[in-house]
Order: sequence, then structure tokens, then C-alpha cells
Amino acid sequence: MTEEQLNRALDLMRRLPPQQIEKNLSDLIDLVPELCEDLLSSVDQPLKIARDKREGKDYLLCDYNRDGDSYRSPWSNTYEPPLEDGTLPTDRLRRLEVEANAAFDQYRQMYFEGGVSSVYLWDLDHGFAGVILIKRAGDGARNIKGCWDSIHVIEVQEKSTGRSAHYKLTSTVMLWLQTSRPGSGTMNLGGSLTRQVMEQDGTVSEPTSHIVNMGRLVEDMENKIRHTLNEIYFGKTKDIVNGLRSIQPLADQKQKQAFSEDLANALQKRQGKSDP
Amino acid sequence: MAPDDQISDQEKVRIASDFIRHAPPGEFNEVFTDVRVLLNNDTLLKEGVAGAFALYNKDQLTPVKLPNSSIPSLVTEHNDIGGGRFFDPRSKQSFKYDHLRKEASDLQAWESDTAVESWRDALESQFTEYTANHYKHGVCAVFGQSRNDSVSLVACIEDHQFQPKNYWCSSMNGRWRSQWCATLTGGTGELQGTLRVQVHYYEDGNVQLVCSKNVKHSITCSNEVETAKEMVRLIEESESEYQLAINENYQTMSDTTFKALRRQLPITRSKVDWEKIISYKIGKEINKAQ
Repeated sequence: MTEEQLNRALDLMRRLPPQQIEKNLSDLIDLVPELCEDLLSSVDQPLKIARDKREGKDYLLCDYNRDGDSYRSPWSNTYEPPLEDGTLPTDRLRRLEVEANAAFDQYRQMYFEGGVSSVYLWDLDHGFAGVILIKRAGDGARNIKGCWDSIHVIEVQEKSTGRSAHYKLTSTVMLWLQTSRPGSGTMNLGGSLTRQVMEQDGTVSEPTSHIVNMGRLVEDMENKIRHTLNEIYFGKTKDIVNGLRSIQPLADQKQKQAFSEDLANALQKRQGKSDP
Repeated sequence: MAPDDQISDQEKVRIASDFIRHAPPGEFNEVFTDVRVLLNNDTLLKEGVAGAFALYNKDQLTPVKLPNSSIPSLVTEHNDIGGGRFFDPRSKQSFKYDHLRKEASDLQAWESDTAVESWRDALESQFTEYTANHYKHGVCAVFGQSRNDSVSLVACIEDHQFQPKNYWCSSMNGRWRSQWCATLTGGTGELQGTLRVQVHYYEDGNVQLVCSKNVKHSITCSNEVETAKEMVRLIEESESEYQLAINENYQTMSDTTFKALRRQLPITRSKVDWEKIISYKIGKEINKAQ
């Protein structure tokens, strides 16, 4: 019963207006408390920002850097609020995590020209896994509020030779746009593209090769998703609106259509006559 | 799970009803099934949540086919006469409405309010022509009521596009709802409109457009036909202006807002040189160690 309930819960989250994700998730957990852990780990929510006071930098919160009610900063590698023995990555992994955060910080600056990023890694049996988070809020120009959230979960399976690895990336990107203006009233266009998957192998000559391989995969994935978001948000949904109502009177259009059909028929007849 | 940690039945009903009422256009059945399985209590569903089905259908201005008429009507709060029955002023009938099966039955004759019928009828005539001219599959209805010295008219339009998941093109549902209320007293009147658009894309994700706008106009009333014509003229103007404004927003959102969130490519116009990023960092570390 619980598996069917989880499927129904996820189906519901794909239908309810994403503008109220947090409320919907909270209500859903109240209604079916047994699904709490599963829901929190499978439903993506807009990323929250916290401040690492020690390092003077912002970082992003998710289930992967959470232990109890505390969150680990990727800059200071400590928990806020402090924890006696919170889960920490091994020394080897932490060194890679520091490099990854620095690298993706630069990536973020080059594509997003602002915003916050965070990378968290954890060990697996034959490799490691990680999550790369990016949050970019707009400045509200032209009276439109916008926000982009990226959640990339990557699984790295190191081959026994140690010279190559297999990378599997599962990504979700959330895009939120809203405006309130006299002409158009309130307009809220938001939601997410989820569970996009990309896999590839990569050579590993030193530990930082992983960052190069992960970086290229994340970059390709985000570029692809950005393109898809552009098509869906500003193409498809707009087409539906203009399909629901026609600014031009439909009678006029029927006339135009009838006219162009007459024209096409007339041209065909003329061509038929001039054929030998 | 200790029984104390469970929420009350009342809270469960509130949550289930909220979910039902926020079903996107064309997906009531799917949301209903989800809620039914999650609530796991058909008695509570029937007793506590059934009211939400009716509220949802009325809020959506749900079109309804009448067995003996070629022109459909709408299920709204304005033609609800209680006991699960609604009236259709166009065919002068009332019907029983099944909110789950979305079907009309048990048709009976229904008498309109004679004090306002000439006004209502004139507006219905103009409004039906307007709807056919701008909404390919639109359904409209005009309701009239007399209130002291005033004539109260409500004109609604509904149009939708539903595409199920196994259809060849993307899973997308959309609905447009217009609701215009006119209060005519003596030679003047006030026209108020609420326009709502909702679109849901759900292939590989969940993207929704939710829009609404309120409009107000003052009108002068002469006779029934002239007043109806003026109202429809203002309605057409307002709705087209709204649609244009939405399209303009789309343009700004894609040209300006979206671009400012994430560029297509870095300013160098080529993808990131990851080897360079790594070597730069290592360079820094080596420098630090010296």
C-alpha cells in the first residue's frame, strides 16, 4: 500500500501548482506521515540559502548536507547549529570537495554572473557521489521577479584500474517568473523540469580529473535544459494561451482561410491548363 | 506511528479538499484518484470532501452538455439553485448535475426572472456572437437577476484545451475563464470583470502558468440592445488588451529576465575550459605552499 501511496503522492506533486510546493509537500506529509522520509528525498524544493558567518559566504541547503536539524557549510566544513559528531566527508573526499566548490564557483560566475553555488560529496562503495547546487535570483528589473534553482546529483563509479570512471548525472532545474502589472494583472509562470539523466565515461589521471569530467557533464546538461526550458516556458505555454483565445475575430480568419484556399485552387487550375 | 501524531479527521478533510480544489484544468479525475488513495478513507471522502467537488466545478466554469440542446451550458455559482441542481437560462431548463461524472440529467422547465429577461436575453445574444468570434471551442452563459432597482447580469466564458499524456504531442492542459458582472441602475452601470488563465505542462516536470486580472468599467445604459452592445464592446477591448499584455510579458520574460538568470554561453562565447579552472586552482595551492 505504501508504494502505491508514494506513487500517488508523487503524481499529485506533478499536478498541483508548483508555486505552492512547500505548502503542498507539508500538507502531504501531514496527510500521510509514513511517507515523510521518501517524500523529502524525492520531491525537489526551491533551494534555501544560509550564511556561513565564519567564512562570510552563503551556501545552499539540501538533504545531502543535512544532519538532524543542522546543515554543513561547504566553506568551513562545520555544522550550523553546531553538532557533536555530524557526518563529515573523509579527508580525501573533503580535499576533492574543496576543489569542486572552487571550480563550480567559477562556473557559476561565468554562466550566472551572480547567485550562490554549493557542492557536497559523499562516499560510495566503488566511488563517490555528490550534489551540485546553484541558486540565482533575478534583480527584479522590468518589474519581473525571477529565480533559477539547479539540483544536480552525480554518481561516480571508479573503475578498478583507477584510470577511468563512469559518471551518471540526474538533474532538476526549477525556474520561477512572476510579475504584477496593471496591463496583465498577476502572471506567475513557474515550475521545474525533473529527472533529466546524462551518463558518460571519463579518463582519470589525477583526482581533479573528476572535477573536469563532472564539470563538462553538468555544463552540457544545464545548456540542454536551458534550451528546453526556453521552448516550454516561452513557446509552448504561450501557444496554448493564444490557442484558447484569438485576438483576431475568428470570422475574419475563416474568411482569410477561405480566400487562400480559393487562391490555391485557382492557381492549381491554371497550372493544370498550362501543362502539356 | 503513535495515534497522537496523526492529524485530526477535520484537518485531513481540509487538506484533501485543498488538493481537489487546486487540480489543474482537465486533471480532476487524476487528482481525485490520488487523493482517494492517500486519504484511504472513502467514508470521510464522501462525507467531508464531496463539497469540494462542487466548488471546484463551479470555480472552473465547467461546460455541461444538455441532452436535449445543441448548445452547452456552464456550471457556476451563479446558476446553482441548491440540491445539486443548476439552471440554464438559454434553454429555460434546470438540471441535476453529477459532479464526479460531469453529467446533466433530470431536466425540468425553469422560469426566468421576467423583470430582467429582456436585458439578459439581449446580452446573451451579443455575448454568444462575441464568444464564437474569439474562442474556438468557447462556451458562454448569461445570468440575470433583479435586485431592488438594479438589474444584475453575469456573463461567463470558458474555453479549454486538454491533451492526455499518451497523445502524440506534449502533455499540456489549458483553460481560459472570463467572468463579467454588470449592475445597471437607472441610466448608469458598472461592469466588473475577472479574467483567469491557467496552463499546465507535465511531461518530465511540472510547469504552470497562473494568471488573473480584474477590470472595471463604467457604462451608460439606454435600451437593452444598445447597452448589451456597449458592454460587449468593452469586454472585447479589455480581453484583447489583456491577451496582448500577457504576450508582451512573455517577450520581456524571455528576452530580459531569463537571459539575466543564466546566459546561453559565458561572455567568451565558448564553453568553460575546465582544465584551465583546475590548473588555476592548483597553481594557487602551489604558490601558497611556497
